[in-house]
Amino acid sequence: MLRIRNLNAYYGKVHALKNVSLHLNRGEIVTLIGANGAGKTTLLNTLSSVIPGADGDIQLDGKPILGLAPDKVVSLGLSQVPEGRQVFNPLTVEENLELGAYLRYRAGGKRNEIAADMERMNLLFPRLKERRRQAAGTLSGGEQQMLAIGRALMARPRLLLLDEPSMGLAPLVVQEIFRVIQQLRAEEGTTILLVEQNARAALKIADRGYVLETGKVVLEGKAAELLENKDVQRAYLGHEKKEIWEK
Amino acid sequence: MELLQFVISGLATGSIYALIGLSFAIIFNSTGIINFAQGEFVMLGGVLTICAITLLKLPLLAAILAAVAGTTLVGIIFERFAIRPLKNATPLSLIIITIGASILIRGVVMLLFGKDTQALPAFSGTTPIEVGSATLLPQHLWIFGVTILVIIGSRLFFHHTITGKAMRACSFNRRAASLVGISVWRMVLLSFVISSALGSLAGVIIAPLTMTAYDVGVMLGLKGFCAAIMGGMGSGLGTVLGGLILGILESLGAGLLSSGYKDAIAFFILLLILFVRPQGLFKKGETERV
Repeated sequence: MLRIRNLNAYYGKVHALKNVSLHLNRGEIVTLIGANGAGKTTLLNTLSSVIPGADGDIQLDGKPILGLAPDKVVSLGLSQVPEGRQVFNPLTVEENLELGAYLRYRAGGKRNEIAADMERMNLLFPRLKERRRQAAGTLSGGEQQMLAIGRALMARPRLLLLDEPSMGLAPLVVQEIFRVIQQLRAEEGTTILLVEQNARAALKIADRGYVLETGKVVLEGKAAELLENKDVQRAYLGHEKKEIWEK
Repeated sequence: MELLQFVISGLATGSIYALIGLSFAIIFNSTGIINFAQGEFVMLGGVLTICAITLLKLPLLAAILAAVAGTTLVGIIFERFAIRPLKNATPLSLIIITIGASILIRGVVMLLFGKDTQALPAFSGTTPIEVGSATLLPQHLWIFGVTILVIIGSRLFFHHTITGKAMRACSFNRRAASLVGISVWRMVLLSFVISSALGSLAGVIIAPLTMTAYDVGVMLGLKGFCAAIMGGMGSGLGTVLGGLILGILESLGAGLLSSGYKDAIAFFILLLILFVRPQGLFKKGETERV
């Protein structure tokens, strides 16, 4: 589905991604874990073509997408739920969802199909339905995250990128969001690339994972194996081994 | 009682300021820059209409349409060749570019059409209409009508069409707008189209009352800017109210104190608002959760 080879990208003058290669198979949930500043967000923004100056090879279903206009990437079936939600605060919940389908409106998509998808979002996130006439800026953090996911889904992506969906949310809300992510894959076969600092929760629902450290992929493998991996446990899962420090 | 008369003429010029203010706000919201060439769009509206009538012998309505279309074309060219190529410029450099463009447009118009002040014939005669103790010109009705239509139209556009909603989204958060597939540059271009059309329309409907020349854009532009500042640079009712208040205060000031103070009043208000309420008169605090 997605294949990235030798990707280099820059965040300002910082060499943020160094020869990153990774792939996603259709219908997989793959997680990308790493500390702050490891390059996770830069990777997603390069995929969505919203930051310039990357080189390497990115193929979505065999088509090169690096350097395309961002709207072109969305129309090819890749949507991103950005870090920090970034919903359109002054617009209503309903308008935010409609804009998720912006390219479908522009392409002359059938209004009733879009309306049906809107209804689907209401089923997926019942709390958004109650608030559909409210400005998105008045929602709680968890509701905004659901709205951000709903907005991305309105484009009917085949590949969904999620950038730290659990950031700053209460544990119960995080559970809810991770449940939705699993539901999406199960019901619609959406392929998901999940970037998380909450490595444990992400690895539990993922099939595979990559560990990114200062712009390089340092480890990859099945999610279950990564959960057992000593280095991952020490660095990302908080299993400190006392003897390591006392040696 | 003269008061009513002052209020009526104040509302008429105020409507014009409101339209110009809206056209400022539309570009500001999509690009973050104040387009100081906005006044020239207003001037072009009036001047081009007169040209279309005298040179091309077009009937009034066709001349107006041609002038608005011509000005819109200037707006498109301006965006395409002066704003878009400077993708990474700071707002300050872009603002200076708009000042340069304004001087250029004014200069070209002066060379081609001369420095004479000309009047556009009133759209439907000059027979005054009695309203109580005051009189109303038919042109005033045109101004009120067009302004109301523009306000309704922009409300419908920004709140009930997907493109209008996309423009609002874009002005709030460009990155997120690109992520849903909105082409930011298309929205910027569109904002120049709407803004130059709106500005020129304001210039056309005021031209029969105040006459027009190559340099009327400076003052009208600044007054419209003042209206937009009063409205907090929003493209909504705040700016419209700002324009109307400004128009009425100006007209009262000119009538009751001295006409010499007319322009000073606008700039006094502008400075006062920038000092005391830079967020605009009517803007509520934005609720934002992070």
